[in-house]
Amino acid sequence: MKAWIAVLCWPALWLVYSREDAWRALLAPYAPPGRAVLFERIALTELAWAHLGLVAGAMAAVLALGVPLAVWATRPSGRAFLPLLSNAVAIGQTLPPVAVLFLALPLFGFGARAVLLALFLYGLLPTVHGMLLGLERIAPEALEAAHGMGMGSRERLWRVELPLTLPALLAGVRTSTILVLATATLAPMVGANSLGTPIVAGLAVDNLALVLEGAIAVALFAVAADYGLRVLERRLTPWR
Amino acid sequence: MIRLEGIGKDYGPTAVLRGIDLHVARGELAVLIGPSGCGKTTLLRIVNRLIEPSAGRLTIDGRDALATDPVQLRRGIGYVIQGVGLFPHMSVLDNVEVVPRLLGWSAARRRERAEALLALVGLEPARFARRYPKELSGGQQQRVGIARALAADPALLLMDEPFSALDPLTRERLQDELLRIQAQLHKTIVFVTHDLDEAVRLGDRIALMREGRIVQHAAPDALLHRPTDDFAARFVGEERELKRLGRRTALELMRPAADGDGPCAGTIVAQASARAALSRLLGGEETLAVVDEHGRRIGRLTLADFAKAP
Repeated sequence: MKAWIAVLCWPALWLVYSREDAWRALLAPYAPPGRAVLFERIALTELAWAHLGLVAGAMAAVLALGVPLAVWATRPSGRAFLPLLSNAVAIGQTLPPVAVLFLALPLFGFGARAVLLALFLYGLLPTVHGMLLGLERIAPEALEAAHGMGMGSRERLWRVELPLTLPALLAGVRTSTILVLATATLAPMVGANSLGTPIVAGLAVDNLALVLEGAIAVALFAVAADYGLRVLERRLTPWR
Repeated sequence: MIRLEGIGKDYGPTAVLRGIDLHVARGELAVLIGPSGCGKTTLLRIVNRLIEPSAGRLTIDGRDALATDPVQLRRGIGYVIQGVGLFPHMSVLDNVEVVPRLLGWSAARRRERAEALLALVGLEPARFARRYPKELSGGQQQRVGIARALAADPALLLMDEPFSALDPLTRERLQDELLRIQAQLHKTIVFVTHDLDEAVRLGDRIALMREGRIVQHAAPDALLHRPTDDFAARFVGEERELKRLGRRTALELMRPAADGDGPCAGTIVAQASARAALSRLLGGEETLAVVDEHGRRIGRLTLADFAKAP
């Protein structure tokens, strides 16, 4: 696990996406004779930016809402809502991604906003779940000591509970990110571009080369994201 | 220093503590002991108000502690627990600095204090300050726990079975360390344990508890020699006179050296425990020469001297 790899793999990934000649050489055997080997309308780098935008946008919303929600549900004021919250996020998870996408349609119509909403709802569970689990599993001795040493409830939250929840939260965030990243592949079905666009197009015209182009691009993206988040976990929790 | 008057605690219809009167003098190491469920930990946690008493008065240092803000009160009381409860995400140094930081001390002052305390509890700051708790042994962790409790120089220290999770050897070493630190700092300490040997070893006075009441509150020697009732007698056990010898020295029991003394089977230093001396006599050495720290013979001990001891 090296931090420099986690950082440098992103420009490297974009470099790979931009090498159209290489992609063409790799995928030519899978295209039907006389048909396009690559998705021509939009460059792969541009699709990758769109994909990144969807994932980053959805995850920003997940963090901005999920973390305070989980904290609130474990405070005395919100404890009554804890079972409801756990169940709600669990139910959100049982819906298949396509269904979530289409459920968002009547609200926002076609386009990126509907996709973002669906991805946000979908990504909420692992993060909230991880956070709740982390808050629950804090060593009772640490809380007892914090209380007995004269920390107020705010100090306990910021200096003890949140830092100790970080490993579980980050693991949840990583799961959410990979899930959102994979689900964003379906975005073109609701009218937003992503690395899934060549896949959907390829399926529609029965062109395996296009499907492979999108699939390989998403897979590389997922590997880079997973690695980067693992490095981040190590960096932020050196005490484990 | 601490005065509890008529302290009671009920959980619904069950009374956990009933009419507790207890006074702990400044600089005293008071031990609370008793079988599990006797209320000793509850009583300790009432002193720093982690538990609110249902009845009674609590005075600390002349002030009504029940009228003080509990968070402020706790910042002035050192607290050490069985599970140690070091914060795993903080370095040893940061753990020790927690209360000074809450009290708003400057970084330089915190640092200086924390390093001095680590040295006091026998952890070399240069080696240990930057480590995380999981990189320490159980005994080292509890040393940090003690340093942390002493960080803001509280006059009062509460210790809830701090050594009971440690192996016997480490436990004894830490008991010695605590006595050494106490001889240096003269804190007022309330120490909860269920281990009679530990209580006898550490306590200036011991409060023996049963079912929410204090059965006997006395110096270790008196508790062992004259238990007030059947329960106390059973609790201190049939070996109580042997345990009592553990706090006495060979010096206290010996006959002073006289001119006509014959040869002795062995020697023992005057500050050794009388219990160790007895053990050696029982082991077959007929007479022991008691010597001072320079090796000069100052007296002698035989089994007969133990028979006469009050």
